[in-house]
Amino acid sequence: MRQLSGQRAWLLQRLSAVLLLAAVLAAVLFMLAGPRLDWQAWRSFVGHPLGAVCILVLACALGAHAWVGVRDVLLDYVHRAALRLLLLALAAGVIIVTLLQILLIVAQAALVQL
Amino acid sequence: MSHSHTPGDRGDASPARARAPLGVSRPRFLSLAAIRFPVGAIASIGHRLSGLLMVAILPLLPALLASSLRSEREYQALLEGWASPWALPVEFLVLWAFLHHLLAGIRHLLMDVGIGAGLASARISARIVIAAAFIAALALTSWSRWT
Repeated sequence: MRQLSGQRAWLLQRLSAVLLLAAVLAAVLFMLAGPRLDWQAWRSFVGHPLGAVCILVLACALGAHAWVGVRDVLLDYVHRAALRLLLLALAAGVIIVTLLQILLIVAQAALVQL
Repeated sequence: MSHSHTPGDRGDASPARARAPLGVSRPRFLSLAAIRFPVGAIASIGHRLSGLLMVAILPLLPALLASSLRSEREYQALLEGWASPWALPVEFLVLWAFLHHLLAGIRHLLMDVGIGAGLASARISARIVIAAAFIAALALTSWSRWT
């Protein structure tokens, strides 16, 4: 049961946590000390290649973190194999669709600015 | 957390009691109302609950992102927040979930590298995490109303 061995999941959870924590700290610092982020500035940040990559990397970290967390909870509390598989598939589907939606929105914002 | 399912676990049939040594009457199931959880367990279950809550609202994120980019008016509306009285408990709950998950997560990461992993300090940090997340969520919810 290589998939359930847990060490890779554990590492992925910690790495994504550190990345998300760094992003939260950066956002709080910006809110406290940075310029006011108006709509134009927000749009050009999301549309800029660097901003878009930042958002997509963070979205992937969030998706990975959510997946490992939900997986841990389901493996701990749901013991019926069929139900467990169903819920795992549902969670994976929701997370993947959410990430794809974010990818589309960011890509669109980048295209508008070309 | 292990849930052992010994034969005496369910129902109130007498065999489990009859098998108990020396006729000692023991509780045969975990009564959540009777158990006092250690403070670390409360911080930990809060970490899981807050994580699940945020995963539950994760699918709303693309719509919020799209709306923030669509027009200046929608962007401002998002920043100003939702005026309905229902917004208050929702805002508190989401802020609590975020803050508790963040603080409890930092606590776990520090323990991973050996900081505060002893029993006494783990108990103190669990109390701090629970209280700080609650108080900060309350403060931020009220602050967002008055400014």
